[in-house]
Amino acid sequence: MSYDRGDVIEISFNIPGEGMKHHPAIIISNEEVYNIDGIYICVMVTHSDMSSYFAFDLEAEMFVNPNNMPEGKAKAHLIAYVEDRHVIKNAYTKRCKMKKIYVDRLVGFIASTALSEDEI
Amino acid sequence: MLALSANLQYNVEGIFEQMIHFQDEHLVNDFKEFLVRFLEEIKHIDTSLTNIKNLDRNDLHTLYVDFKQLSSVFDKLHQSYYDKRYMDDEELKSLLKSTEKQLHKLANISHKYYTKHLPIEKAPDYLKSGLVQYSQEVLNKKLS
Repeated sequence: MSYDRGDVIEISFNIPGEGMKHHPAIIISNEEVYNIDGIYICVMVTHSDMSSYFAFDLEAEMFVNPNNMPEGKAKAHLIAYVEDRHVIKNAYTKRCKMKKIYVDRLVGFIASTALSEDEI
Repeated sequence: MLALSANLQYNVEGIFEQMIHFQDEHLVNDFKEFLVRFLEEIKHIDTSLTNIKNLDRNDLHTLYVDFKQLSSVFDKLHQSYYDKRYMDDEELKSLLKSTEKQLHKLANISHKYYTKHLPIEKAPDYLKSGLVQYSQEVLNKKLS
């Protein structure tokens, strides 16, 4: 397993007419998922200052290396399966990790905002 | 009304902040007793949250900010105990996890109701199609 739960990775996207753009994402799946199927489940981080329904605020104390934390907000509804080969390996690789307590909080936020009906 | 009273919120945050800095073994029992009482308090708030739908935007904002702030301070405290392996105290670990779960639930509910009134920010098409493509590619391979 090249990456762990909480690692911030980058994956690339093709923007028509503009070329490839890298976006940070946070791995939220655990080791068992990788061991069984060789995949990671990750949630995207997008550049945004807006508070909105699916936006999870990222703060410095949530990361092991706050200087390298991704800018923007994690978006609870933007989730994907990726494999090792999809991860961009560059100077930013393995430079930032979200702490376990906060990954749990992020997963709870995703479950509440993107995967559940109203709780009350 | 629905949130913790301002004084209680201030006191709870103050206690959490103190515990981040003074994790003395002698204080653990007192802290556990405090967590038991606090947990009861926030469970009671949970049962009265059905009124949240009737709150105006200002009240929703206050509720959202209060719970977010309280959750943030609690998370710092929880992280510091996690780093110390909960001082090998299973009861403390269980209480911290239960409190975390309950506080996050309240923070998430207040976030949902507050942000429902805010402008929607749509994800760009290239991002959505890229995510679908990644997942489709992986699932096709795994399911074939």
